[in-house]
Amino acid sequence: MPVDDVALAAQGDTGAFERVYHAHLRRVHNLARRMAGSESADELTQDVFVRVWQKLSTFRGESSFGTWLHRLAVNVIVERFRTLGTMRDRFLADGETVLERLPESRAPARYDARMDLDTAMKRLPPGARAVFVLHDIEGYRHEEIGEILGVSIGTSKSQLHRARMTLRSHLNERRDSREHALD
Amino acid sequence: MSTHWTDRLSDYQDGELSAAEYAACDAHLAECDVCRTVLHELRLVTVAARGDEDRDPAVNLWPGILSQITSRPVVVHPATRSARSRPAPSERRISFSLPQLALAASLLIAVTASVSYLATGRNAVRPTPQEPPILAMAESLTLPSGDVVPANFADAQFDKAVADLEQILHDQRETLDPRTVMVIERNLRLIDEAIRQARAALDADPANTYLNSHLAEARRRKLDLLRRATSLSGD
Repeated sequence: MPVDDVALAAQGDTGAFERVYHAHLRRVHNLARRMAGSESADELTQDVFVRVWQKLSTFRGESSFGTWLHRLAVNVIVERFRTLGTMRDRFLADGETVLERLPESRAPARYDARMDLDTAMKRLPPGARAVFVLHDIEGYRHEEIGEILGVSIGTSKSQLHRARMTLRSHLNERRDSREHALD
Repeated sequence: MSTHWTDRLSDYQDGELSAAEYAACDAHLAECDVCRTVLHELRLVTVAARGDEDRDPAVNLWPGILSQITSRPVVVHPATRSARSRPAPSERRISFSLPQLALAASLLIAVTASVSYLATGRNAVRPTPQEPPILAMAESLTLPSGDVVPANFADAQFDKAVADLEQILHDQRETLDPRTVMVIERNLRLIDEAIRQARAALDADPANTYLNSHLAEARRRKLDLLRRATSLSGD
């Protein structure tokens, strides 16, 4: 995408903004899908780009435009969770017991790495899901996640571990059910 | 198995432990089959997450975005006008139901009629409450009085937005119910006629506040109708 399109869009050129939209659509839509689910991804994506349009004049070029836009997208999605009261209230409590039974003893499982992550992530509370997506898929550091979500670094780390353990549990169930089906 | 070390396996995996903690965790993993298994499975989860492929949205989201970002008012107060005037969030998300479209058609007839009235009667005064009810309804559609800025006929952004929406509507025409298409096209013709007449009248009287209001309203209605129509085709 030509850099000029951002400048033109900032001056109100909807044609240039459409090119900006197409250049970043996929990443924003997939971020929304992973953090909020397929059912909310379209609406959230539209909200993100409307917000980008409103905020274009504040882009100073201190980071790349893609980085700026992505961070704005994360904020819009997190704001939505907060509005709905589904984010901070639905982190797993720190004192909560381990999410699933650990195996007594077993050889390392041979998982299908191409698991249906959508289905698995639906099991996660919104807060833990957000931490997992931001850290393991989007590559944010715990410091950044803590700032974005308004939680401590320790909470971010513990939620990430619990999210991974929940997903691992889901994979174990899938593998067990496949093995039963083959018996 | 150690719950303490099991709870630290993500930190171990992510390089978040101190050197001393690493050494202790390594020592534990060397002896604990369960924790080694868990660590292996956690790594698989991470690999799966990083390998999750992006997908394209199933529907075209651009019409909805365009609809929201171009709903800026044409008539503005100079004191609050800025180089890049954009609507407040509460001014967006305008949508019509089909019954509302039908009502809009009736109102546009009134708009057209009132503009024709003014265009043919240069000395005509503004409508009064004694005039037929439908004209009074049309009058109620005018924007607030005040420092009205004459509508800019060459507003490139408006023309571009209309052109974009018309293209989208044309591209998606086949997906709409033919009766809906008929209503939309009939209303668009009415609006275009109202715009044409307002422009003709303003050629002779460019500063006429009433005519400028009618033109602005007709243009706004055209944009709204196109937005609604393209959003219907995206449903």
